[in-house]
Amino acid sequence: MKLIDRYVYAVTKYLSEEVREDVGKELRSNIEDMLPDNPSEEEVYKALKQLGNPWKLANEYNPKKQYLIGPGYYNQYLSILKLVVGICITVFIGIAMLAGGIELAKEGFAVDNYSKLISSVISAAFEGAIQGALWVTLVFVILERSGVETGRFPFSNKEWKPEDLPELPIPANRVISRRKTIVSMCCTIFFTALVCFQPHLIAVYFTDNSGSVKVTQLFNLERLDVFIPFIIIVAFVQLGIFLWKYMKGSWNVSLAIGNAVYNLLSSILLIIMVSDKNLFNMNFFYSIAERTNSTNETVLPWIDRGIWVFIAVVVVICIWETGYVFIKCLDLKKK
Amino acid sequence: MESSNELISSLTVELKRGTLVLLVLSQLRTQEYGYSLVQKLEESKAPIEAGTLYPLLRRLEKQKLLISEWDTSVSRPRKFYSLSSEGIEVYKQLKKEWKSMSSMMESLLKEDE
Repeated sequence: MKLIDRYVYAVTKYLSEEVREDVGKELRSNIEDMLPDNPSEEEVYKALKQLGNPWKLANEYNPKKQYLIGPGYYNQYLSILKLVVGICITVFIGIAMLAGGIELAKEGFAVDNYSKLISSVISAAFEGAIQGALWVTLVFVILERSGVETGRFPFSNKEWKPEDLPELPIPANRVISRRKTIVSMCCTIFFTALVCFQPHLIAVYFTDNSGSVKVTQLFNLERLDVFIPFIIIVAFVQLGIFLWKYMKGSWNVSLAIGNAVYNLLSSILLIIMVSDKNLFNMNFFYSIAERTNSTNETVLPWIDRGIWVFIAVVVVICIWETGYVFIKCLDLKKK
Repeated sequence: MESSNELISSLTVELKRGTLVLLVLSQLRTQEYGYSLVQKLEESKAPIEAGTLYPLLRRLEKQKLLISEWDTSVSRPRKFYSLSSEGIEVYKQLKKEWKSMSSMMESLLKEDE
């Protein structure tokens, strides 16, 4: 009878917990029904053979969607996975080399430091590959589950109509340049990785009189930690929109709405970040002031003004970009 | 020839698969448990693999076409299935569909002979 126990276990381990016990019980009684009383090992063997591979049988019991990324997205997923993993590896290696180069300049060009650089570059390549694969997969899982592609608007699953078909050829002003999308993707990954993993590199580097390098970081790292989850969320949304743009190749209304949401999120985050005085290491600005022969008192008002100009620029760019995209879409609908 | 035989057998499997639900529903006006249904279908020369039938019964139950109950009064407990009232309705409709489909097929295939 041990063979039956093993078979039932082999089937039910693939099933969800709610049905596992009941299916197991039923399957066991079905198998026993197939056998005579006090069956021999051989008869049990034959009956199980007849029922077939337990994995297949379990599959029959699981009619639900059991994949993360279905056949509809699979080819696009593979090609974008390759693209993004490639970009991530390159960007992460770039950051590791930058960090290693600065380290070398500070510590001196000894053999030990070189081997440290090499090992950090190798681990950065792995890190990049894993991060890239993780985020692309996550974006595709969301695409798959939400059914964005099946409806005109995200999350609505509206019935498809022939007028939803894109124009042929896609009007030139609506085409999204793939090269630009890839370049923007590189920039996003680079800056997000820099801020999240190596924020201490964003600094001013001055050699003082004794010849050693003095590093003054821009950010207060403890305070920056508070923002990192939000930065990752915004970067994730942006990456999702880049992938969406890359796949669609042209603007449409739902993409434009997604773009608007991203612009709103990112500008809110940026505005909160720059207006948080605790985020910045004041010594960064003082250090620049020292270099340019001004005093701390003359620099302070400039920092305030700088923040306002920065906020204004962010808001203007976001509104302009959002509006521009919408005009492109609506303009085309009228024709 | 080898590949055409393979194709024929896979097409036959597909043809049969379409009739599976109707076949099972037709036999469940009285209560049956898994293995008794396998035997019943075998006797009527419409064998279904046990590995296909058992999961199908559960699926039909989940779609509320069948109701089930465990009979624990005997030494070997068994799960009995039978048509629900919704299942009876669906069975009637499907039977109608099947009849019109098969008479249509009949006349179409006759033209050939």
